[in-house]
Amino acid sequence: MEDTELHTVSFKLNGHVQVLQVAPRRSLTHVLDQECGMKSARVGCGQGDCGSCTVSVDGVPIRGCLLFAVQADGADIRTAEALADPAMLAAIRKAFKKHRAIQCGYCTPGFMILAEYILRNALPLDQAVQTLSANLCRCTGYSPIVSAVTELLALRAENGCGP
Amino acid sequence: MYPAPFLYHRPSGLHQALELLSRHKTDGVILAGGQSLVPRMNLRQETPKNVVDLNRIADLSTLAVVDDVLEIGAMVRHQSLCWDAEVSGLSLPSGFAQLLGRMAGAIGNLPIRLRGTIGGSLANASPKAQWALLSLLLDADIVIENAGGARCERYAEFLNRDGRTTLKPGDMITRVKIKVPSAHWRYGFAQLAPQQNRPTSAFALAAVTLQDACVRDCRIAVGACTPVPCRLQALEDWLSGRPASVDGGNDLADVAKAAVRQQAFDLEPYLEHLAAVAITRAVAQALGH
Ligand SMILES: Cc1cc2nc3c(=O)[nH]c(=O)nc-3n(C[C@H](O)[C@H](O)[C@H](O)COP(=O)(O)OP(=O)(O)OC[C@H]3O[C@@H](n4cnc5c(N)ncnc54)[C@H](O)[C@@H]3O)c2cc1C
Ligand code: FES
Ligand code: FES
Repeated sequence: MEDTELHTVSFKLNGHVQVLQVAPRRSLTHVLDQECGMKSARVGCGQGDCGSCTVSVDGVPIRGCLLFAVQADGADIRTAEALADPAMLAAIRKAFKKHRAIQCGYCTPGFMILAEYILRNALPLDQAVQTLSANLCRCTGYSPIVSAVTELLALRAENGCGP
Repeated sequence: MYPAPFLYHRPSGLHQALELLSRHKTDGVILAGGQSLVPRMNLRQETPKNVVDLNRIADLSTLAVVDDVLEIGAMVRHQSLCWDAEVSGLSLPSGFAQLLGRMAGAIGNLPIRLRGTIGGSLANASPKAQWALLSLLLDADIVIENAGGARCERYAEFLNRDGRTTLKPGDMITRVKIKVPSAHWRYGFAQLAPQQNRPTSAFALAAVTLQDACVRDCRIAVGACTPVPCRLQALEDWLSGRPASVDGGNDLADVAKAAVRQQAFDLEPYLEHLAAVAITRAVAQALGH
């Protein structure tokens, strides 16, 4: 059976409305990459295990490899290219760089999505670490990522709101 | 990595969904949270021709207490039961509410919990599913509907000893009903995994009530290491009537091991050991040690 059926989906991607024709079997991550040019999220395992496909859907981190793009009709999607708040995105980038939380970079966009969720909800440190443990990183050994997020949370607490 | 092509259906109501499932009995599948189905589709272990997405059926996501029975809609996400905001409105006994949150929070990781549903978990019937353990221990009733009508099955009947459920093509779990236990019950839940967020090797759940510092009622179940979760009658009998100060020492562990052996006689020794550790921890927690 070939893809006989295309569905029209429309969603907000990084603040801009997109209207696309997609075959139902295509994952959100594939469509964001191949149709929308948002390359940050990528499919690693396609099994829900690694988290390199993580994107923010309606304000929460979701495995993009396990959501069909047709299911995202009407959703508000954010990728690491343009997380909700530019100041926060800049702070996350700076902290990741400073703590060397990036090596090969394959996992980084997924971790940025988790970091943004942690900061926006001001999670306590134990919950932050628990949340970060959703994704895999084969390079850094995790502690640099945890340090970066710890510093971001401390900055946030100092400033009273987002860093 | 692409699943095989399929036709996508997004019913907005239960009736329409049941009709679709009945029409596509031979080649249709329900898509709930997708956290178990889509990995299999991505590997083409499953190649359904018709996929019926339940995510837009609002009626399936309700969470309510009706006549002392907690009714959880099939599409309630694991994470919803971790969020105080969603659970506190139900006025459940605090120990029970905490147990729900702890068990939900032990499932996979945040993105998985935000999508995965209780109905999907019960239909999927993985031996490592926390909801299976809870449903067995608390005698949950599973409400199943199809185009022809509805039925309600006790969890122990819903799940066969071979790990298969009684679900037939066209069937949909719509709700799970759990009688709200009285506030006297105390709980313990212990889960052992090689690493946090990795599949669990063994977990155990214990519920007890005490009277005059002795165990009065007691229910204990173990799972993940066994092909299906099981109640440990022998251990329950042994514990009933004993002083609540009974410690997690050798006796308890030995009786636990023997009780597990009764249920699953050919377990690897290390799994039997893990089961005993999980059980003693769960019991100790329930007794307040
Ligand atoms: C990385 C990872 C870690 C995980 N860790 C755990 C864990 O620790 N513990 C755990 O319990 N689970 C775990 N899971 C599985 C997760 O909980 C799934 O959410 C759950 O098993 C299936 O629920 P779902 O809503 O995603 O169902 P789906 O994947 O959509 O469906 C699963 C199956 O059930 C059927 N189905 C779904 N809903 C219904 C219904 N209402 N009526 C009848 N049939 C239905 C589908 O047709 C399909 O066959 C993990 C998954 C991943 C990817
Ligand atoms: S690609 Fe989605 S979790 Fe690995
Ligand atoms: S930096 Fe290489 S996988 Fe994380």
